[in-house]
Amino acid sequence: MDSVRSDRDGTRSRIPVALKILIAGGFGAGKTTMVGSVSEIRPLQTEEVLTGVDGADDTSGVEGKRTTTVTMDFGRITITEDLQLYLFGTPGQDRFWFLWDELSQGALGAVVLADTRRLADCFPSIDYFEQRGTPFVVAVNCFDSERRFGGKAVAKALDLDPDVPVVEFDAREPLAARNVLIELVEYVARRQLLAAGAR
Amino acid sequence: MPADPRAPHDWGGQGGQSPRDWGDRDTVPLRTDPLRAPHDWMDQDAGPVVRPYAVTQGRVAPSGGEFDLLAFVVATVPDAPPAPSLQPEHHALVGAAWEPTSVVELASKLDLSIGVVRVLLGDLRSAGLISLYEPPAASQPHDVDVLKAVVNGLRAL
Repeated sequence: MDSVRSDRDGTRSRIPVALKILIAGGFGAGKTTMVGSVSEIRPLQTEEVLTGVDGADDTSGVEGKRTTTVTMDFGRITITEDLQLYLFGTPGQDRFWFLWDELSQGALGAVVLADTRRLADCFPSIDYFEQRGTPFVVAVNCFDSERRFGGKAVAKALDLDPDVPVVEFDAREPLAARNVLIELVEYVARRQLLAAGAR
Repeated sequence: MPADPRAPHDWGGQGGQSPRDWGDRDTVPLRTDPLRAPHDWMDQDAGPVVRPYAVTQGRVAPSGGEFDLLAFVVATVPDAPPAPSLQPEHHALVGAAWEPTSVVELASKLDLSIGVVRVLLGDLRSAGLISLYEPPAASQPHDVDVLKAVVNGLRAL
C-alpha cells in the first residue's frame, strides 16, 4: 500500500488509506441519521448530476427531463493519521441503482438498515450486495416506541445466510452506530481469514 | 404558444433570448402559467439557476481519464497561477487540496457536483497543478491487519 502514500517534503500529511463502507436501506430507514451520528465531520452531502442516462429510468411522461440530481450523504472517521473510514449513504431511490456500482467498487462492506415496520424496503439492498458478493450486516433500526423483533426473526424474514450478522441498534446513538461498524469490520475479517484458510 | 411580452419568462432583454432559445440540446420545459407571479416557477423542481455543467463548458468527462471518488488530491502549488483557462472553481480546488483531500470531500466542501469536480480536477491534472493518488485496486482483498486496526480504532472512539 506504500504506493498510495507520498513521502514528499514531510511538511504535509501523507496520503491516508481510505476505506469505504456503504450505508444502505430503504427510504427513511435512518441512513442519513447513522452517517451523521458517527461521522467526525459535519455530515456532508454531495450531489451527482446525471445527464441523459439511457434506460436507467422510466422517463415516460417526463421526456423533456434530461438531468436529475442525486444527493449522497457521506461522513468520515479518522482511525489513525494514515487510515480513514468513509461512510456513504447510498441513494435511496431504486432508479439510482447504477450509481451503486461505483460506490460499491472496492468497498469494505455495507450496513443494510432495516425498519421492521417496512422490512421489505431493504430487500433490494440485500439482493444487490448478495449478488455482488459485498459483505454486509443487517442493522435493525429500533425506534423507541416500536415493537422489537428479535434478530433471529428478522434474519428468517429476510432469508439471510446464517453467517450474516443481524444487530439491533438506534441509529441516533453514536456508540450504537459505531458498534454496528465494528460488527461489520469483524465480519469482513472473519470472511477474509476463512477465504485465506480455504486457499 | 404565442409569445406574450408580459409572460413571466421574458427576462426583459431587448429582443432578448428566452431560455428556450438557448438551443434545444439541454433545456427543461418550463411550466408556464401567466397568472402566477414572475419567478414563481423557480421552485425546487426547477433545479439550479445556473446549470452545473456550465462551469465545465458542458464537458462531462475529465481529460486524462476517470478517477475514484476516494482518490486523494494533492495540490502541487499553494495557489494556482492566474490563467485564462482557469475558472474560480479551479483555484478553489487547488486551494482546498494543499492537504491531501479526497475527491468526494472536495465536491462537498465546494458544493459542486462530483461530475463537475472530476472534470475540473482533470484540467488541473493536465496543467500539472495537482497530483491524484488512486486508492488500492478494488480487486485487492482488504488486509486483515488493516481491518484489525480499524476495529481497534473504532473501539477507541
